[in-house]
Amino acid sequence: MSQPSNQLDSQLRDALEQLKTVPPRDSEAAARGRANFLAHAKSLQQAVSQSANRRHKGWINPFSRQASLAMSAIVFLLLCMLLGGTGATLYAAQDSLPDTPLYPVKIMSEDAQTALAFQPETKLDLLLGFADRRVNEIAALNLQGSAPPESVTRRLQQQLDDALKLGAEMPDSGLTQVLERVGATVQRQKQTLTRVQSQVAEPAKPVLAQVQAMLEERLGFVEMGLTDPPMFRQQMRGLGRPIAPPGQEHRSAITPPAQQLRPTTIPPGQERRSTAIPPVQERRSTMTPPGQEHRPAITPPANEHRP
Amino acid sequence: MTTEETLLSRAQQFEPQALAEIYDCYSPGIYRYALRLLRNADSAEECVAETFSRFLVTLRDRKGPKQHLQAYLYRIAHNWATDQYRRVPAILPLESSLQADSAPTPLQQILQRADEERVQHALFCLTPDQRQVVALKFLEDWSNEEVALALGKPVGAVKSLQHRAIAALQRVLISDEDGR
Repeated sequence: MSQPSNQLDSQLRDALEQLKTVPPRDSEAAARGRANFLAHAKSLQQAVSQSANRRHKGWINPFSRQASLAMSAIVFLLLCMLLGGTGATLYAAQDSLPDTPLYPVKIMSEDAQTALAFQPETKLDLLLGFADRRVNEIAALNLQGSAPPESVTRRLQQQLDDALKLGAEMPDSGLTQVLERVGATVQRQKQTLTRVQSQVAEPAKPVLAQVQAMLEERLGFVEMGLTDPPMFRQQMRGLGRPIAPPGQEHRSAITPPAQQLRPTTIPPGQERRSTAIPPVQERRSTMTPPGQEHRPAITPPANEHRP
Repeated sequence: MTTEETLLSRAQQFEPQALAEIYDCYSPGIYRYALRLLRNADSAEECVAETFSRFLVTLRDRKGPKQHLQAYLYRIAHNWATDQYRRVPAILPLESSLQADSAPTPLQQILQRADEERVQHALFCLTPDQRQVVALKFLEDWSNEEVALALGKPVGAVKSLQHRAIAALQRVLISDEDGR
């Protein structure tokens, strides 16, 4: 059995030798790769330094945002169990508007769903779906002649920012897919609000303008992420400011000047490029880091250590 | 503390000098390795970028390797190359590698290209562990001990994998020849 194997071994070695011949690396591409690596390292280093204070300050805050989301999920599930027939209530709440008594149920169910979503794709779907709901609520309230409460606009902003942050935590390929989805969603939301703009009552107009400005700003973040991922990731780390109240100047503590934020200036009313893309299909599997087990020291092959 | 452990400890602090040292030391080898597996310079560059990017992320998350950095990086690169080959199986062969020979005729170039594709295809017919053993042992000339580290398996298991991999490669290559 082993005889034919030995006979073919030399042929096999010859065959594999063919794969060993490779041309030298393009020095420009190598230098570019090195520069990108060091830039990436620098951006991550800043991330580590910024959150270091929070990580090492003694007691862990049990009321952090993640903990409170999980807590609200638990409370929501408990309420569901206690109240029994809440299925119907929950169902009825899904179409409720912010000025109705069932609206808090709708919000709680959204929080619960988001907190229980562990896959980034699922979380992204939920966040963008809920952001669409907020825009529809704002449009519906505007058409009724009333201004949407600040909690709704803040929630819309938070959901979009959470979606952007989700992308910022992914490698570049995943980031692009997320940004294109967020871009398409925000573009659609802008169109929805533009459609109702002419029918909005005078008191609701400043809020609508503010929401539109906020959406425009998110499109700017999307553009930035597509053109300059490291800068985008840096921006996302500081994101989270609430929307400014109506009438006040729209100033951002974290947003860079408009020309820096939006590499391409798009005239008002002009369509952005189509960002309709298929949903996130595939994520690269993250590797389980080896080397944790106890192993003897390794001496790398000599030819690998001489650049 | 060994030199590598010191270097890794400095890298975990995101010391630019240490990170640059690691990149300069290992990226050429990883590039060659990816190029041998994928036969495409752009994919090989992407593999290097992705490998080192993942390395940085693990450092940031305090999950990076404490030792055996080379084995760790090659394992990431190998996994990435395997995923890439699955996603884009019909990768163009290296034209420049064909020109490296002393002026082969067009027919020789075509035959050589076909041979390379055949061997590459056979390599990707193996299981991931078998493929990694063959690639590290025969393409990168690593010792059994070094391959064992990269795979996180005992040397005996590596030898056994190698034996099965060679048998499987022979089967695939023979069946290819019979099918011609």
